[in-house]
Amino acid sequence: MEMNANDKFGMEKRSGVHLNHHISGVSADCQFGTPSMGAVPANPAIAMSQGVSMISSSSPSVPGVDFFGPGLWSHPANPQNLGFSNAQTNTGASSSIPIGKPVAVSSRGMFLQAIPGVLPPNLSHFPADSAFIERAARFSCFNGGNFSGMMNPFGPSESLTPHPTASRGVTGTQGHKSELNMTEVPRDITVPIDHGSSSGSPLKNQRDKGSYLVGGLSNVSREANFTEVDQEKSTELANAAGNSSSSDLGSKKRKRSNQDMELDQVQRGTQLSMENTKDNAETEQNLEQNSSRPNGKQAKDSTEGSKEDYIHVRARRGQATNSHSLAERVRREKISERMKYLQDLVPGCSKVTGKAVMLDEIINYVQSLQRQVEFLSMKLATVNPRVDCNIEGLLSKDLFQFRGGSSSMIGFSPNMIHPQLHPSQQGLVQPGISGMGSPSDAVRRAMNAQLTVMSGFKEPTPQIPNVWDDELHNVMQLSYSTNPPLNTKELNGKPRDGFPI
Amino acid sequence: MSAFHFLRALSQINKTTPKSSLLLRSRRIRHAAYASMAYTAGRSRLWSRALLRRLQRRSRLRYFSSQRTRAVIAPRRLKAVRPRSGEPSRAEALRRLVPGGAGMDYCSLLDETAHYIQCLSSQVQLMQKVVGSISS
Repeated sequence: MEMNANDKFGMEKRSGVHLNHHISGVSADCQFGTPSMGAVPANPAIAMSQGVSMISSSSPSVPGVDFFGPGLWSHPANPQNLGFSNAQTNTGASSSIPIGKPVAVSSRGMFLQAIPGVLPPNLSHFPADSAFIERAARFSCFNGGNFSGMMNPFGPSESLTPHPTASRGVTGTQGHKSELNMTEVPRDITVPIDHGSSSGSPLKNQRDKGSYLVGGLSNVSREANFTEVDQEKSTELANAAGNSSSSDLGSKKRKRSNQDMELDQVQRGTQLSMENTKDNAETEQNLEQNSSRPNGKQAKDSTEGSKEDYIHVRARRGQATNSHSLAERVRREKISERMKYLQDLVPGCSKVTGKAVMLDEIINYVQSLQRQVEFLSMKLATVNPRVDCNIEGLLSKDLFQFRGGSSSMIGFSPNMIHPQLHPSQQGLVQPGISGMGSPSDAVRRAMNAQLTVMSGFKEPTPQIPNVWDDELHNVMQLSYSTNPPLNTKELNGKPRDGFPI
Repeated sequence: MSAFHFLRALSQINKTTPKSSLLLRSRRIRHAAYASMAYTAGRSRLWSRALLRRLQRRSRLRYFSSQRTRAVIAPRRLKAVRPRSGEPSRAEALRRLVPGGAGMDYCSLLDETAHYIQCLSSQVQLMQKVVGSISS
């Protein structure tokens, strides 16, 4: 379907409208280039029309590309600032061009909208701030700039430069985003084309589009396009590849928490923005450099392709599209992330590099902690008989602040305690169990030193079911009930699994 | 919260167990330490669930077992942690250390290890404080 420049322009506006609606929630401080819209250069328009036709004809399963193609390229967006507000005003005058995928738009818009709301909390290393979100939101609407300069020889997806680590290394958000965009966008474009059409010119047009996208898109537009296209692309990849590995991926990825999902999205977004900041020539150069300079990690991934995740993980440039390698890379990233966290946890491991040495350190540390527990329990066993009352005093002292009689506290049944302890763990006090709530607070305050460590746990404390209480009740009772005297054989039997029980 | 649990268990142990059986006391105290630690961690963690299961099993067996049963469970044969592919060789040792580690994949093993280390260190601190307050 050939669309003249006007139609395309209207379509862009319409896309901008749709996007704006969804992204209106995001603080839009970018100024939509209204004059720039009017000044759509002929070349991009033509290319866009071709590209649009290409996209629309290439694969019906990629409505997003269809929709955003013209929208992305028709707007010669300012490299940095594109305003949704202006877009909104502009789109008011847009004609009702049957771009025809309002559903897709809404899904994408919602998808975009979800991004700002669901930033993973632990993405400290990503510039996942509101500015990023804005850019991501804006990204979908805007595209433009001089794509002609970005006539990269975007080969097949395999030729994408691997630069995940490089992108990550760049602390600047812009760099990350643009770089990712570079990898992702051409990937997106080529995939539908490969599936959709095999003609040379369409392919070239797609590549041009990709280059356009890479070269001239603003951060926002790129990110948005990326996210949008990513959705489509991932679906398309799944369809096209027809891999059972997709199900494997699904099974693997389902384990991933939402955090990881967001992490990936933000990763891609950051990488996209990183790309955006560079000008066309630079990005081209970077691409070339990246392709020629695979990192150690990327060298392995050089054969890998686009990351495919049921959350639409995007493949990096130069990486194979094999879904297995995709999942593997995701897994590797998770492992490295956790190793980093463990490194912070284990004292004296900051200068240790390498997973093997790190693992050894972790094992040593866990063993030393378990030995310490055993030693301290032995010490407590010897010390305790002398200070029988002290323990009760310690316990009651905290509880006594809100209650009378320490003995009454000590004698509480575990079932009464447990519901209290749950709220206390979560920082809440159940009003229903007033008696128990106070002791929990007291204990918490008194034992703040220990409790601060517990509160530092990164995972959220979920509601513990009542079965938990019963279980613990049994365990605690059994632990200090009068057990029959253990025979020497049992006492001497050391736990061979290293678990000191 | 873990302090509360542990102290309570400690007081109970002091009351109930004879002072002569030092070994028994130390085992019970250690049992209580791990139990309170696992309870504080909650059910959301694999290691805490596995730990509680293990403690329950041992306690129940110990409590209800006859002489024969105790003889059976005493020689604790460790199910071989088979080396898995795609992970470092040291992962086996880590699996043995962390409760419930045998059934996890390497990724979640690292996750559980991190949380386990946190809980362990807090428990050690608590016990050190208790010992310090008692001795002084």
